[in-house]
Amino acid sequence: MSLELDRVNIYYSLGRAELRAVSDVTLNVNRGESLGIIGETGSGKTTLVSSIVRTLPENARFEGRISLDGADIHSMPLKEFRKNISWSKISIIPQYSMNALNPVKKIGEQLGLIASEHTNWSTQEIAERIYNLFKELGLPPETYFKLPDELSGGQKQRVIIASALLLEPDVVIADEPTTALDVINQAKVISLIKRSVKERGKTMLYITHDIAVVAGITDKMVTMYAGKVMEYGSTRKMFREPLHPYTMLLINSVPDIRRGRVKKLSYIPGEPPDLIKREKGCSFAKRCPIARDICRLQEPELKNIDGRLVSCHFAEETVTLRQG
Amino acid sequence: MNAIRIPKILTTPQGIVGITVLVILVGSVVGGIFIVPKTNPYAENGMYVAAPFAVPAWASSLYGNLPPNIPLPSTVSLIEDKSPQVLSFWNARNISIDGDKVVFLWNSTLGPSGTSFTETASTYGNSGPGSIELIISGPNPINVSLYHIFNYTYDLPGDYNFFIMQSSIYFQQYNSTINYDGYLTNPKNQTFWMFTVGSAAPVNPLASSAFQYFGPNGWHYVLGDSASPIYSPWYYTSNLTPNETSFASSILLHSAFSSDGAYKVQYQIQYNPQSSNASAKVFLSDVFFKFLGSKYGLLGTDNNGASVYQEYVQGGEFDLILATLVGLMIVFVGAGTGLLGGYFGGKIDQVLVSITDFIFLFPALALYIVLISVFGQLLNLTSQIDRTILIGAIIIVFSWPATGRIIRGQTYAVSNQQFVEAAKALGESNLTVIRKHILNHIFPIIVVQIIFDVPAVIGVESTLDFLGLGITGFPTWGNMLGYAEHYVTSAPHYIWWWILPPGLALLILGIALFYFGESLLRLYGIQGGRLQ
Amino acid sequence: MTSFLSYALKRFIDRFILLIGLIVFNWLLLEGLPEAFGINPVVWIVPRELSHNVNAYATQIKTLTVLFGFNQPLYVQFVRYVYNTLTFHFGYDFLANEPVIVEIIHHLPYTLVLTIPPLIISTFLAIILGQIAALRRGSAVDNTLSNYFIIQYNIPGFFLSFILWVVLIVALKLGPISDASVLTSWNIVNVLKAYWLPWIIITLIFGFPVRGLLMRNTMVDILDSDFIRYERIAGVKEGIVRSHARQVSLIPVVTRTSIDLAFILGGIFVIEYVFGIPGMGYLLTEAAVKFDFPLLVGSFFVLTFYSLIVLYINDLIYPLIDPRLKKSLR
Ligand SMILES: Nc1ncnc2c1ncn2[C@@H]1O[C@H](COP(=O)(O)OP(=O)(O)OP(=O)(O)O)[C@@H](O)[C@H]1O
Ligand code: SF4
Ligand SMILES: [Mg+2]
Repeated sequence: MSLELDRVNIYYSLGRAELRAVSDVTLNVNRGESLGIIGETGSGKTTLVSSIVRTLPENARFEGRISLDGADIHSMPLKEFRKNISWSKISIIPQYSMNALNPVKKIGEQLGLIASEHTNWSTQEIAERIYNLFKELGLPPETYFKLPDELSGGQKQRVIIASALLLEPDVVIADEPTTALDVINQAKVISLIKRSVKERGKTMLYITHDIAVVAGITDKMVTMYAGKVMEYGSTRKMFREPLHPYTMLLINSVPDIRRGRVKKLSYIPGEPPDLIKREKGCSFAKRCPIARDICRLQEPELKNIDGRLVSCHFAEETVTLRQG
Repeated sequence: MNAIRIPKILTTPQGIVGITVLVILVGSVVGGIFIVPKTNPYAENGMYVAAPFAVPAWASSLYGNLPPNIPLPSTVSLIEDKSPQVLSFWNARNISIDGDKVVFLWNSTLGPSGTSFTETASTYGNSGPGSIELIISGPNPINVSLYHIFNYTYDLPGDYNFFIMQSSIYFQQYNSTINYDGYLTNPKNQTFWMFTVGSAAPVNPLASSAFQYFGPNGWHYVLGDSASPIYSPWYYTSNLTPNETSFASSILLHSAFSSDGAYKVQYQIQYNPQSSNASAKVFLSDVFFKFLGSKYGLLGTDNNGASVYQEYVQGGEFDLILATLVGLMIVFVGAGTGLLGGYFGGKIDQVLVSITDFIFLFPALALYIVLISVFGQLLNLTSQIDRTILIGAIIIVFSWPATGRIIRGQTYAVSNQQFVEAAKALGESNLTVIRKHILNHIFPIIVVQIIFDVPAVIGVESTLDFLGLGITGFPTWGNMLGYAEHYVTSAPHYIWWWILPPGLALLILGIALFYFGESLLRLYGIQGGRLQ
Repeated sequence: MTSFLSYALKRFIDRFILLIGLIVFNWLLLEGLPEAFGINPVVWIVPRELSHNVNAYATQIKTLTVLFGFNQPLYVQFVRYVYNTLTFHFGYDFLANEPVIVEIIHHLPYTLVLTIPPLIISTFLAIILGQIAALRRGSAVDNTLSNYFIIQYNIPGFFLSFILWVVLIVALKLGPISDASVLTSWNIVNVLKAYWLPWIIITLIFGFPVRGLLMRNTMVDILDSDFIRYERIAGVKEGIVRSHARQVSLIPVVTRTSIDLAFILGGIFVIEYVFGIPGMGYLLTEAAVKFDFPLLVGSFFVLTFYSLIVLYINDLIYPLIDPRLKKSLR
């Protein structure tokens, strides 16, 4: 009972050139587990989850296999997927939540339409379900009769969360659900998601470039760079003892509030690589503080170290470094 | 962003097509300016290069073997007698009979001037020094003829062909009188009497109504034509029944040109001595006959036999110049106010918005019609130039706000960007900021506005001209179509050669400029073309 | 509801100010400016033919000067003019010698019959074609339609009217040369005979390409927009998704159409001229050619007044068409 991604590659064609947005990603999330996907902007997070819900743009090309509870959901007919998988099994809180609602239709009508597409509930039942969710998420009941423009950003975000939970799906994907919100609302929405999604025992994929967020709400996490998995493993372990220089740098850049002191807030100097060019070696080499000659020549393999997968030539060394 | 680099436009297909079409179109106008005469085709001196509604020469074979123009002589130097060869062209020969003596000479100093000649594209007069001189002496009456024979091997003339026969004459008489007649003789040997003038009443009493008295010692111009036979003696001698007389010119044409063969054009001097020592001197110039044909040049002729190509070229020249000037002015004023409004906001901005709101209220064409009538009357504008200025001014006054609004929006967007704020913070003066940062950014938009405004101006102006409410006195593409509209129901072949060139030119110009402008917009990544 | 009323009132005041502006503008044209130029405006409303008879002309001028009050102070004249205009009294048409408003009422129906059906047809056509192009974005169908719209937009209306008239009416004799000749009575056969081609032409030239392209471009944007993407992921049926996209794309098109409706009476000069339809455009053109100033300014006022009213009605309807605007009412 799980969501599995097996050697997923995704390419975008740009006229004559082709860009590899996701390279060889293999992940697996068990029922009830939550996975954080972390990476800088452009690292392919949205592309990856779009392939799960099958909304890749027209110029994208997909390779690999995605299965839910063993069933290949990427090669089944799109119509069937939309009818049986979308929303009832997997729902998404998209990155563009602020604009995800039809501007000229009432909120209740929109959610109702989605529900009636997948179920044979009566209008009554649907409305009740919506009201209950609204209540749970702290939305006033009038929201049902409002137009999106009449809601605040935080309210819209909650409506979208409600929509994602509408049909009690097994998997909920949240793609940077808080980027468009102010700090206070961000915190509220995050705790809301934690409460309403995680605590309901749903499988969750939480995408963000803000590594601090994942710490509190996910069991596993994966750091992505240039479309590749850098490190993949238990959230706790990765926070306590990151093995990959990229993960380390990401964590370094986090103010550690729990310990009562603020670590130096450093960002990672340099730019992500051009995904069109295929370069030899480790894709992080240009920005890696401990890169050596071999890094530029040979691409590191994913190694299983300490129950984690790490893509770095010197992963073992970083372990010994720490221990030493 | 940098200043506009036109060559880059050549990277987009629309740009290439747009520019190519534009170059060809403008070329057809500009090239024509060097070829066509400067005369105004709407004034008499530009009319009758050929018969009315002559078809373009290149297309004439579709309509049979149409007669071309047949001018005698065919070169201007001969027509105006400025070359002694004219003597042999008209078969002038010295004669000595019964004591009379006729001598032909070439006189290079005396020539016609000051006659009451009206100039068309097919008439010549007052051509200055140079003439044929005849010296006649002797006691007996004698008729001296100049003639030329030409072959007519085409379809018989249609409704609109006609011919003219003209000349200038000056004579001195000593105990004699001089009469001067013109004849056309057809292959069936029928002779048509085209004019009779001179110092003695004509011998044929029927012709006396058409006779014109010309006194000695002065230049006179005489014209006989088949367009107005009432002035030709043939009308009075041909025994037309009363109900035929109103078609007399057509009857003259069709009975004269009723078969293929050799036609003879004859100019005859009648010398009538009154004593034995009589003599006379006659000077002839501008001796010219022309059959106006049904095929002509590149684009045929209009209802007045004026060259349509000449109208097309002159009309295009006018339209393009006017539209460019007016377009520039619109953008100049519009961009100026738009920049100020967008940059400073506040009062200027409000005023700009209110003016636009008010102007958008009017149906544009109705407004132009009303204003042109009222101001034309108020300022008592009669000359076409004044009218042009009025029309241009009105279009500018009521068109700049639209451009102003667009520029205002763009300026507003640019001036809120960081680098502008930064420049201001660095203490650069407003003028410098506008010049260095804002103008730089919106320059492409200004260029595109001009490109869009040119066809818009031409469209409006042409519509006014088409309705007969704009320019009427000289050709524009709009009024060419407007005049054609009056004749299309009666003229042959729906006068396609007159309608299509200005119409297609307007159409192509609009489309080409539109695509050109759009591709510029795309090139500079500016959102929202004209249609949005 | 109260918010709507206050909005309606606010827009009414805005439009009323424009109306006053319009009246002042007309007054300036007809009376203010001539007087500023030292011309007694009466000379404009006395039939020109009278000027051959010096005495009659002088008497006429004198009577009319007093009658219209041109010998009174300017502000009195102005107030009188405003009053007359608001009661639709524009003076006498000196050619037909009838009150101008009678002439206008006589000619207006020809124009309404000419313009309203094409406006409706072209709107539907634009929506349908725009939608087809948008749904097949980038295809040959889309390219053809988009370029057709652009070309149609750039064909000078008078040229198209003229050329179609020449080909279909003059050459192929598919209708009367002058529509006035068959429009002597309003029976359906005559109306169809006279109007079929003008209707087609107005359908094509009046705002149609703009609306079509607007529909296409808006719908392309909307189909790409986040809410449509969201509906698709959420498993809403494609048919319903498209109908939602259409619904939202329609808003700017409907707005545009209602603006076109306001100015449609101004777009008819050429077509009435070419086809000989005795409507408002014909009336105004004739008035201009004959310098019949009361008729000229009177019909101009009616055309503009009509736009003003339609624009105001638009103001009131927009919030109903676009629910998003309701928010801005508050
Ligand atoms: N439709 C597309 N066509 C071509 N390239 C695309 C397309 N969509 C995304 N990309 C490219 O693919 C790469 C991955 O993009 P993606 O949106 O998946 O990143 P992301 O990790 O979600 O970033 P962010 O944090 O900004 O959301 C980027 O380089 C992006 O420019
Ligand atoms: S492989 Fe080399 S470059 Fe890449 S992360 Fe490890 S140390 Fe850095
Ligand atoms: Mg993303």
